[in-house]
Formats: sequence, C-alpha cells, structure tokens
Amino acid sequence: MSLCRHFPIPSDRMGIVWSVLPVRDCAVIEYGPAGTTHYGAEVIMDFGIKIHKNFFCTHVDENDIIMGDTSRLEQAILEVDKTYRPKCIFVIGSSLTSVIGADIRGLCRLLEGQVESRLIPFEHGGFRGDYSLGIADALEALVKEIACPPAKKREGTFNLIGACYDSYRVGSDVEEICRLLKEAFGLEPACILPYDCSYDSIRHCTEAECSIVMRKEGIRAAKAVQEKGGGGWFYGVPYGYQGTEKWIAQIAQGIGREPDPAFRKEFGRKLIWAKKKENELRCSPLPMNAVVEGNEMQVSGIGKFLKEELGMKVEGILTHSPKGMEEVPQWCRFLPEKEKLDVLRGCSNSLVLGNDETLSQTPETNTKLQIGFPAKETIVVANHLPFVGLRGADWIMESILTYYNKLVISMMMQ
Amino acid sequence: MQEKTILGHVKRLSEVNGRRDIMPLSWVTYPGTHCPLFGAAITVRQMKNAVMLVIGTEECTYYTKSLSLVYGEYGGLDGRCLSFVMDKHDVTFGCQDKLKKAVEELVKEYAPEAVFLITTCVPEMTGEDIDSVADGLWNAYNIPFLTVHTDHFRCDGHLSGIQNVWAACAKMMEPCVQEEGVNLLGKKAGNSELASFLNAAGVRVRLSLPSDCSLEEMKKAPAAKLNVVCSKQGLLLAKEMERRFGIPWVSFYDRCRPAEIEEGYKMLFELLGKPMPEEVEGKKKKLKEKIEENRELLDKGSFILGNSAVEPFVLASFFAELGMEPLLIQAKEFEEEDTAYKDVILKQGMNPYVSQSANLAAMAGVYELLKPDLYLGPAERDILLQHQIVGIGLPKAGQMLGFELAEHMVECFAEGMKRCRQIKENGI
Repeated sequence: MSLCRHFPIPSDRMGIVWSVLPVRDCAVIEYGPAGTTHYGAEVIMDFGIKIHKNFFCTHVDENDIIMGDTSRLEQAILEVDKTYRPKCIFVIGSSLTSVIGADIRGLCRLLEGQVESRLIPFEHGGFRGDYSLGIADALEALVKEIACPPAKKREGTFNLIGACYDSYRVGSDVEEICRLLKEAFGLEPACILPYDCSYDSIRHCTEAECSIVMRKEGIRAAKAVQEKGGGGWFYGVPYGYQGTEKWIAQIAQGIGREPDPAFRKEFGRKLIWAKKKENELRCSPLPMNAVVEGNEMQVSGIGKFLKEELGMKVEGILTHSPKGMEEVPQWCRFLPEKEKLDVLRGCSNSLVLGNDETLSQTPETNTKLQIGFPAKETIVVANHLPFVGLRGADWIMESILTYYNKLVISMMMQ
Repeated sequence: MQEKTILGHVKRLSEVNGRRDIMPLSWVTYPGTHCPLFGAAITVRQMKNAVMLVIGTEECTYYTKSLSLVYGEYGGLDGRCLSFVMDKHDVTFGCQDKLKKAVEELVKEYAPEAVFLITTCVPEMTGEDIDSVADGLWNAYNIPFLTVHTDHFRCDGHLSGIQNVWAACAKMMEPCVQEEGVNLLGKKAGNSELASFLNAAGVRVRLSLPSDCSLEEMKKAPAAKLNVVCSKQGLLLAKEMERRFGIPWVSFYDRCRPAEIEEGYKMLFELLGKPMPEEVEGKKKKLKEKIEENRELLDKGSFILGNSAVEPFVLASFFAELGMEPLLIQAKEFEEEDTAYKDVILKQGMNPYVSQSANLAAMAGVYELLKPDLYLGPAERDILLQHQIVGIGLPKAGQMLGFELAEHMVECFAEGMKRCRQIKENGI
C-alpha cells in the first residue's frame, strides 16, 4: 500500500486491544508512547468497549528506545498489579518496542513470581498482519493462557466465540443468537468471548457443552477449548432465513437434540413467509445487485443470504485479508484501496451494505444499509437490532424490499 | 504513608531544573498525553489548501484520519488528510522510494498548494531522512513540502506538534517589502484586547495564527513589521522569522502581572513607532482593582494546576504572589525562562510538587492527600466534589491576552473560591 486516501486497514495490534480489553477483571498495559493509547481510546469507546481503570500506558522516552531499557514496563506491571489487583494483565507492545525488539515475553516470565495477576504478553507491534490476525491471535491466547481443564461439565450451556466489538451492533447479534439457542434448545451462554466475558468465565469455558464460533478468527480459540477438554465446536452464523434454519439444524445435530416443537412451529411460519418473498423476488425480471463490505463473517454470511436465498448478484468486499481463512467464497475479495473505491463509486442501482465510509462513496441511486464501523453518524444504543437470526433477516429484508420497490418504480417511470 | 506511595518520588519545584525532573505521578498513565501528531493534525487543518500526509503505522494514520472527520476543515473522508502506511519492509529497508510514489499519486489527484509531511515515532526512530525527501519533492513539483516531526518519545504532549507545524511554515515564507502591521502568533487573538489597541492605533493585524489563513497569506507573513507571540507555541516561528527576515517580536504569553503587561504594550508600541493608547492605563487600573477586590478571597487559598491555555509556571507564580498556593503543578516542560517564575513561587515560601500531566487515573489518589481548594483544568468533577474540591477552567483564555486575560483568571479563581467556601460551609 502506498498512498492511503481513507482509513488504513487496522493493524494486528489494534485487533488485539479490541479483543482483550473487554475481558472483565483484567487490565491492559500498553508499552509504548502515551499518544497511541490516548488516540486509540477514542476509537475503542466508539465501538462501545468500556474503559474504566483497565487500560493503561507506560509511555516511552528516548532513553528506553536507545538503551532498550524495560524497567519502566517492569515498574508499570508491578504498580498495576498492586494498585488495581486485576486477575490478569495483558501486556501489549507497540510498534516502537517491536522494532527495537523489547523482550516483553521474557519480562513477563521474570515477573510471574512477583505479581498476583496472571501476565499475558503480546509482542505484535502492528507489523505481522491486519486486525483480523490480531483478533484470531488474541482469542486463541485468551483460551490457551486462561482456560482450565473442566472440573465438571455444565450441560445446556454454550460458549459463543468471536463476538467482537469491531462488528457493528455486535450486542444485538449476541442477543439474537442467545434468544434463538434458548428458545430452540434451552441453551444458556457460558462465555461470550470477548463481548461479555470475565476472566473466570474464560477459565471455566471448557465446562460448557459446546462452543459456537461466530467468525473464522475464533476457530483456533474453539479448537483450544476442545484440546483442553471442552466440548465440540460449530462454526456458523445465522444470516438469512434459510441460513438460520441450517444453523439451527447444524447445532441440533452437533448436540444431539431436536429443537423445541413450539419453536419449530413458529419458525416454520416465518420460513413460509420468507419462501413467498423469495419466490416473488426470484420471479422478477429485474436484475438485483448487491455490494456487501465488511469482515469475512458479515460479507460471506449476508452475501450468501442475498445470493443463495434470493438469487441476487453479489459482490463481496473484505475489510481485511482472508489469508489463512478457509472456505472464503470466491466472490469475496480483499481489494487495494484504489480498486475498492472504483468498485464503490462505479456501482449504481444496487443494494449496498457497508460502513459509513463505504456508503458515502456510493452514488445516491443505491439503496444503503449500514452494517459496519466506522459509524461517525451513529451512536449505537439498541441491543435488539441484529443482522443475524430471524430478526436480523427481517431487518435486512426491509432494505431488500425497499431496494426492490425502487427498481420497480424506476422501471415503471421509463 | 500515602505521600510516600503517590508523591514520594515526585520532585518539588525547588528541585526541578529541566524536563527530566518532572516525574510522572505513576508508572502507568490513563489517558496519557496526546501526541504531537494530534497537535500537528489540529493545526494543519486550519491552513486552507494544504494537504497533510501522515507517515507512520496503521495506528497513527487510522486515528488521525478518524480525527480529521471530526473537523470539517479537512473536507471529510475524501478530504486532505492522507496517509502513507509503513509496513515491516519499509521499517527494515527504508520507505523513501515508496513515499515518492505515493506523493506522485497525491499531487496528481489532489493538486495541493503545499504538503505537510508529518513524520511519526517509527520513521523518526528508524532515521528516515524525510527532510531531504521533502526538499527533493519541493524542487520536483515546485510546491512547498514541509516536514513536521512528531515523535512522541522525545517530548511530552501535543503542543510541540502545534509549534512544529508553525515553525515549518517559516520555510515557505518569502522575503517581502516590509509594510505596516503585525502578526499574532499562537492564539486566536483577533478579537483580543491587544488587537483592539492595535486597531485603535491604526495598526493592521495581518496574520493571526491559528486561523483559517490561506497559504498565500502565510507566505506573505514577513511583510509585517512585528510579531506578537501570543502563546509559547508561536515562539519558535517568531524566532525563525527574526533569524530569516529580521522581524522583531514581543511576547505576551508570559505576562500576567499588571506591570509586565504594561511593559509588553510599551515595547510593542515603541517598536511600531506609535504612541501607547490611552486605554492601556485604564485597563491596567481595572485589573489592579479586580485584584484588590478579590485579594482576601484568594489569599490562603490553594490549587492543583492541571491544563489551561496559560503557561503553568506563569500562572502559578501570578497566583502565588496573590497568596494562593499551588500545591501541585502539572507540566510538560521546564525551560530556562521558567526559572524566573520558579523563583517568584519559592520566594513566597511555596514549594509545590511538579508532575507530568494527563494522568487522571493516578490523580484521584492525590486529592485526598493535598486537599486543594481548586483544581484548574479537565478533571472528573464528581470525584473532585467528593473531596470538596472545586474544578475550574479558564474558558476564554484561548482568545484573550494582556490585562483582560489576567482579569479573567482572577475572576475564574475567585468564583471557584467562593464556591469552595460555600461547599465547605454548607456541604455539597
């Protein structure tokens, strides 16, 4: 990448901070310039992550850089351990300390006997990959470093892995998934990683009956849960009507229980309605196009809903590299900024789903729905407006039908 | 015991002789100081038609782009805040060729009148010679390319970023025929008392930084007869303009006492070859009256000095002379010229702690220990009130100079002290 006109792709380090900061009873110490922490805190709070006596910075000066002196970090760890008594401290390097090769891991090992907090180091300085890699590494580290082998099994509970704050309206998505699992199988959440979890809930996540992985960044963490004696895991997100049906079926098969009959009956009614809508749209001679931009979970999930259930032509644009991810649909691409802008500015009379930035670049002939951050024009409050599950499918369907109506009117005006 | 924990390692003013003597309150900070990159970004925004290219990691560039959307002047998402993102290859092998290619795209797409190349911590640490790249680009495209260094590991806070942007501007200034008029450097002081005195004397204010000035106006800044340094961040530019164009300067950012302010006006009008306006005497008298009116209220009061638009040691010495004791001064720098204010404070028998700023998390532990009457600057007001401390600010200080500024300071402190007395007498 050379000239970047809009937002750069967030780095691995940013993904790590977003993923570990929400874990309750823990603290984050950044070993780097204070300005980065101050700056970063503003974006972090935009995501809805709470900061209260859990996010600190050491700052660094010339002496630390030139002499490679890590005593400042050492004192910082001792101080946070003593003052705030967190159960765990995530010690995160910065681009500066990564370039000078500060041995954060070694220091944490050295201090292990001197502090009560568990120390988990991250030496990513922003140069290993993008935020998607950071999220994957952080989720895996949380499980590998914190989770214990199960002392007992808690049937009827599940872990939800990969519910990350960088996903717009993640709170609503989590609520909808929990609602569906409760109504269909009577399942209760054990650990929602990292959206709503504590140090102890991660410790005991191996006791849950199963793990449900929302995004591919969480697969390594789910495997780690299983390796430590936890339950089996399923990857999948319930986007769309049929997508939700398949997801329910997948879980039913995995846990060996059928969904509740009352739930199935209600669900079946909705599917009949959705099938009718699908037929209407599929029978229409009007070409329906969509551009979906976001992380892989959103793009492939919503994209499949539009493409496979409704027969729309979909172009997927990823906001991170799919490197290392399996089964990414071919129509999902990670484009250089210039090419991405060409696609966005060139699309017309389409349904466009993306973030503020994406939507602002597309002409007004398009029908637009915000599904991602940055969200400069919106402050998220609601927890009942998901993109996933039946409610999410309904909400996305509203935009689809609005888009379809616009196409119909436009055709009639010709 | 508590003092040992929180302030035990923090030096008192008598021991402070430089930045290295200013200790942090704790080993960790939150939120911590803003970085010079932030300072540079909020300054370049006011220069019309100038493009800002931030050279750094994804994080530095992402956050700056995010910040640029808050300010309309940048022109939103498609606006003139751009990034050059360094990857690990650039860190290892250098980024100059790639940077030049990026600039080629930038010039083609944005047709800028000037480009600020903002270097951040990583390129500064790896030693990228962006200054020479800028010189080469200036020659190649025949538009100013100005380098602004914003490495946070060499300074404490965003003010150096503001200062460095203005200082960089000196490079694009052109020798001009000297005309009547002055430049106001460092504050939006176009509506200040000083500006009205100049106006009454028939002296034109040419350039007022920061303001929405065009690059053409900036280039012609040396046509002024005199520079007035309104905040410390304008000092470097004033000195550079004196060096390059022989323009004298008078400072006002360091004057709070009536006699000092009067002396400043005397110097100013002497250099302009104009008689001092009669209103100066009247304003001085008014300030003195205001001080006398509030002297009893301020005397024996105490305060912690956080962040304000007035230089910390200037402000602390002013109130120390009025009998108000600074118990803790949060400062980013201690420079040679601060020694005079230090002496004034020490002479009053006061010896405050001096710590680094922007650490609200740790500050909470200091309130109970020092028990000041007032806290000046941004703080968690509810926590202050729990300790019967009144939080105050100087809301108009950013646009004021001279007698009016000192009067405003006295008013704000006096109001705070009144409130504090009420709280102590009647509870919250």
